[in-house]
Amino acid sequence: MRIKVKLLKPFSDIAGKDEMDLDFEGENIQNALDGLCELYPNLRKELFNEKGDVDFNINIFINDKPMTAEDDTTTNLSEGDILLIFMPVAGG
Amino acid sequence: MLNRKLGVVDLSKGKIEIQEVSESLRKALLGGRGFNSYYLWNMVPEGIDPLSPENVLIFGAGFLTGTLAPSSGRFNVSAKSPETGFLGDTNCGGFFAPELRYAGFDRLILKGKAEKPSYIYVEDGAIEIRDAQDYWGLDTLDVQKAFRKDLGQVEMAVCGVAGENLVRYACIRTGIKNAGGRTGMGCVMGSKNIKAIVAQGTIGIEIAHPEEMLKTVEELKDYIMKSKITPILGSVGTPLLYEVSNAFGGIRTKNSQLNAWSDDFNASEVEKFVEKMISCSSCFVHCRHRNTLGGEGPEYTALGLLGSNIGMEKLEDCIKMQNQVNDLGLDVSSTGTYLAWATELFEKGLIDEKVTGGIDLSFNDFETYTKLIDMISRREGFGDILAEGQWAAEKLNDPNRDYLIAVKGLPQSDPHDVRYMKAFALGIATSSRGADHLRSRPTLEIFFKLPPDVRNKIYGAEIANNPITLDTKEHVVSWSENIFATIDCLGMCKFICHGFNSPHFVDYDWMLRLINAASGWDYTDAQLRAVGPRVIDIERLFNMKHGLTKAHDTLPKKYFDDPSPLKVAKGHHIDREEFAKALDRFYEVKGWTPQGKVKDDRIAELEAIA
Repeated sequence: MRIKVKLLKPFSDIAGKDEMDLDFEGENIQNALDGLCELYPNLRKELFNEKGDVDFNINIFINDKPMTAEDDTTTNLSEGDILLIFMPVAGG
Repeated sequence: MLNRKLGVVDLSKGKIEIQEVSESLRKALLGGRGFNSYYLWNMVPEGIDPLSPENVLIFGAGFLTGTLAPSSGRFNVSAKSPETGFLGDTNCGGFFAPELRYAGFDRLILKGKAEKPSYIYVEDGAIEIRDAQDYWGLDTLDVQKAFRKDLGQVEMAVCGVAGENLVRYACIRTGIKNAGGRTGMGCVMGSKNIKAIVAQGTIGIEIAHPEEMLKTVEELKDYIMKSKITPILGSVGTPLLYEVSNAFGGIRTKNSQLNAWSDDFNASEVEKFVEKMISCSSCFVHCRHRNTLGGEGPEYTALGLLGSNIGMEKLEDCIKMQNQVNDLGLDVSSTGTYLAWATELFEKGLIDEKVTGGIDLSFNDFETYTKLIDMISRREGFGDILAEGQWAAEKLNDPNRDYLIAVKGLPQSDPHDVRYMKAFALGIATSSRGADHLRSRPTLEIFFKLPPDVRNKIYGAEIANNPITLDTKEHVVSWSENIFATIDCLGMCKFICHGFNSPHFVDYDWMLRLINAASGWDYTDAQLRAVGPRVIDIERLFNMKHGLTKAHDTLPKKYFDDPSPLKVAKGHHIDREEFAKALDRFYEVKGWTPQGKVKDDRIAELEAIA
């Protein structure tokens, strides 16, 4: 499947780019993240916790809709979906 | 640690009193914001003009300021606000507050008005009122250079030209960009003929248990540095927030007519203007930028309010304007909000060139905005009208302030359009100093993947894991208010406060360890957790004494009536009925009456603090 991935800092720094087309084996979010981490192995420790779950410091939007704690990474994606990955911070 | 004094300076009489501070008062309020609010509540008479000599202006360092405690170099400046008529209070970092403590003082209270331009000089237990004629008229950077040239390596809090000219949202500055920005405290300095507080000290702060303090600080440092958030704040700083907010349509744009803007203001673009990252006193986060255009920043606030909110298309123009605003001593948040307000009113035909003195206002007009910012700071022409801030509503033909993004008369501090994140909306509606994210911003609402059990444990209640509902968010806002007030009393930065940027960071347990190691007290968790609610109630009492009612706990009309037009937030707004119910629940959580008043038995309890 081919989707578009957008990364904000610091993930874009690790990947060396902030936007890419991603071809991956499988159909769900977990498959897409695994595919992404195969291309950029240093992303794995940023995106996943020690148990292998997506770290709760990470926000993932699928086509502009946030993935919440209730959403499972087995949620299926569709061809052409846009995955946005970033870390929320606050301040002024 | 506990021997720092209170200096009370009567500027009208030229009289200075140095007072001890009781331990019971310290245990009730710790320091910083809590003490300032307590003195304001007790000292500022009802109904006074904030620009009259009857107003008092308080500079107060935090309880841990000047110690090794991480990010603890902060202080609060407080007075009745000339911008809102309610609580004026602003929190600032830099190096001034530790120096004030090294000079022997926790806090200075300025009363009355000096006959001529003056500054306050504090050194090793002594306070002087000195002539500031040579420094009057200088902008915030030049005046600091002049003081350093004349007095050596002093630290200072100053007002700029805007403060001297009584612009109602003039700020206080230390260093190039550290700002006590909100609620017009620089204006109150100007009204008292005070250009600066200058401090130089050599009195070290005695720590009761130095080994325990070192151990605690080391452990805390490791804990904070392990967080995934810390290195981002230290390498990118707050500009990252722009793209985070923009991602779901939460960026104030063109006076909130839109809610998303260009990627040209993203952190990767800001980075091109960054010379290096720097820090405040005792901080290892170093979230601030020195920029290549002669200033510091831009922070997220400047990117939004002097960027998207006034329709700027070129990042360089935004940075130049924020440098200008900083030099003149204006508040970035208020300046950007008022410029956007006036521009929309002009574009809608509610005001014309007769009002603006021939100025043609349109979004993205860098030349006009630059000129206007200078005119505001000098109160020239149309700038004189805008210098009045929200009080210019009648002259701007918007008497009900329908187009102004403000609460309690204070323009919203941050660029976040809160129509989607409902807890953010409740937070700015109920904040004691007006529309301000730094009083209660529950950022964990954006942590969409935070497990519900973790969220519920933090807030001590069952919280709806859904950012677009107001249900249960009274707990989220109230909890955040309490812990942020507590960390303000300690003089520590919210960037490392539990619940602000992370579900980790400095929580009540860490605070307790630092307090007891530094002071030698046997302070308890219950005593510590009582401080925040006490401060919030005192601020509520101050505001009610000065005319605040339940009707002031509200939101800008646009947030209620105009749904967001773009991105995920499209169609979202704040429902008036839902908001009214949430406000009732919020008052209940606070222990206030249905009218939002502090109850009589609580008032008696607070009046007994001494």
